Amino acid sequence: MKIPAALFIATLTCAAGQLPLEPAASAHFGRGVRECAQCHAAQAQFHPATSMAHAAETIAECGVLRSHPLLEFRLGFYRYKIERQGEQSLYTVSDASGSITLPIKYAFGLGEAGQTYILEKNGELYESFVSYYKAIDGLDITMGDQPLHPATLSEAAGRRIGPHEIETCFGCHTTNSIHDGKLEESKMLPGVQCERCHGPSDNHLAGLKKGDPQLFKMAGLKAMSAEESAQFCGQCHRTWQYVAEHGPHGLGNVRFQPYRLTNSKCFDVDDKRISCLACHDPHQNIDHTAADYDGRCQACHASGQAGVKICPVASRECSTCHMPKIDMPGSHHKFTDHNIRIARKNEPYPQ
Amino acid sequence: MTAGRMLLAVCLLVHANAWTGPPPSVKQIQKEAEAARSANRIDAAIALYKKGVAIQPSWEEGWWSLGTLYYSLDHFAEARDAFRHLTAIQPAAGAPWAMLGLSEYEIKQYEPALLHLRRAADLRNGQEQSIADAANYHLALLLARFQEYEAAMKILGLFAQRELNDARYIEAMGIAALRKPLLPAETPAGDRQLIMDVGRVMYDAAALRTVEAGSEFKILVDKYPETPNIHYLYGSFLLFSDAAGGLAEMKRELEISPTHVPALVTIANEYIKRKDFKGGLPYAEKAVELEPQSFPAHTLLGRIYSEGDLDSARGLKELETARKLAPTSPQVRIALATAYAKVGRKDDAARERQEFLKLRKDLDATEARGPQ
Repeated sequence: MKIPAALFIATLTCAAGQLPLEPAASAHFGRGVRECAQCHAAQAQFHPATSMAHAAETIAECGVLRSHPLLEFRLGFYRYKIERQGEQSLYTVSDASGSITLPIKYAFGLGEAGQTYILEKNGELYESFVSYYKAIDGLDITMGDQPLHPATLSEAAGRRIGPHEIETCFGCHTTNSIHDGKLEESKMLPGVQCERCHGPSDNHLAGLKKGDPQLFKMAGLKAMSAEESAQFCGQCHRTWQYVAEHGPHGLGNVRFQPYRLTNSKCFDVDDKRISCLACHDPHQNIDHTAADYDGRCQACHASGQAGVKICPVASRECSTCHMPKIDMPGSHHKFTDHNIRIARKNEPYPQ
Repeated sequence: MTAGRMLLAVCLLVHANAWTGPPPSVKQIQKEAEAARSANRIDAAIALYKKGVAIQPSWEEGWWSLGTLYYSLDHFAEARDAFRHLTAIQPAAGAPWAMLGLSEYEIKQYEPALLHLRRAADLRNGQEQSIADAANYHLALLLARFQEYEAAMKILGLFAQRELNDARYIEAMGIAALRKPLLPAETPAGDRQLIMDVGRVMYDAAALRTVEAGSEFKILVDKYPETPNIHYLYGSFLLFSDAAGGLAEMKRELEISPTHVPALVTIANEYIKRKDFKGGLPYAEKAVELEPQSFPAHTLLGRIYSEGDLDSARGLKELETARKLAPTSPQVRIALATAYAKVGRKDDAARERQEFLKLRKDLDATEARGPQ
């Protein structure tokens, strides 16, 4: 007998886009960086400028839309225009039959690679059919929507986001927005803020007031093993288990780093030297200098540890060869493949 | 006219160019046989083809023509024998296996028919769509008869997506969806309306006509409120758009059919999605108790124990049982890898992840060939 969920081929496709969430909501699960910075200044210093902190932006604060007062794009019969008007941006799609103009509600993504827009129409949320891409400094079809062929203006504007998808999208791009599975914008903080990862701080603060912070320690994320960090970061960046079950199986999974990392030959579930946090500090922006990561590779590969190979070709900028950049079609971006390996020329992409 | 006769013209056409040409020893016989067949002197054509394959037993076209001629005359046992010879000569060709399975189906040799139609499907049934459709339709009928309902529905769903609105396909979909281990001819006359009603809704759902299917499901549930499987089907449909409604329908199904394992499994799976492991536990446990050979039931029970931190050792035991039952299931490998990783059994986790990647590669290769 097969798992009965496989019954509906149609709806399975929709379900495959969903991610599990760690709810962790509480009455005061919305403290911003400023409050936490009072004690955690080092962590809070750079975080506000990171891509994670800007995983969602309000339109008033959206840097891309502020610096691009007019963005235009043409796709077949459809013309797209994103126009700045004061503190808001309007998204218009038109064809010979007319046009639809919708205010943009949120921008998802800082725009380091791209930025997609959340539109609102008749109380329902839509994902914009076109997105901004930094590499072309302009608009193109939103990643994943390439196979769609909109037949109406409404379809050309965007794809309706279902209730479960709202939960997963906002659950990852914002903080404290989902309560009992529903979006509560009044409590939401755009972007990934402190409590999105560290959990609610109510008890922590109460402990501080009582003079006993140890009693109410926040979750120690630093102590996570490689497996635990892949699971934790994978809540949004997708876990090995999630991608294995739901795909995508092919080039499309290069952007799901926990999955790719877990497939690496050197991945060791309980070795912190290969955890997400060994290389990335979520409080700071991604470091794009390959040589800066050499120390992490050499923590094993120069350790003299039995069975660990030493690279016969080079001793620096390891990631340039062993973590090749992969151009994902439609993304206008090269993603670093976190499947650490000996990448041979012309070898097929290891799924 | 029988299905056999309808197929004949096509079958002969299809393979006219598929052979390398007759060996010199039977060239003249082939000419005479073709002439006899064109003149509708079928008995004479059969006699000539028989003579030809007796002289040259490796004459593929001879066996094919003989088999299809017998099939057209409803002489299915003789057709089966001819196609059996052909499959021995041409084991990698799909069409002979398809025709062998169809012949066996007609003489009620259902087990070998299922085996051979599956083999044909694996080999893409040859290149002709008419043969593929006939073979796949009969394969779906047999899968339902042998209680592989989901596999049957998957095949019929492909017909629905091609908008082949044939009453036979809809009927077959109804039988499979209602989980009746019967062929169309074996279903009680009193069930006919129910089967067609269910088949139509499921056909629309599979064809991605979700709005229509949604309305039809509501009517179906009103019309058959106490009929087993109806709430399960509606629940499965709802789960993707209205999880609470879907779950409620599943539980309603259990009130009508308390031993409905697919409903139990689906509910357990839904609770896992919600990370409510304790909520899913009684359903998964009952599913395992009712159907100890069900690998999805063991997989879900294992996941609940392991991912829910309820009992890691028991979780691994259940998942290892699932692996034993279904060693080629990628889902089992995924769950096992995750469970091993969780308890720090890194080598086992790495092995299961590699096994998954291997299985996935095979699946991708199958999917890349596309549906037929």
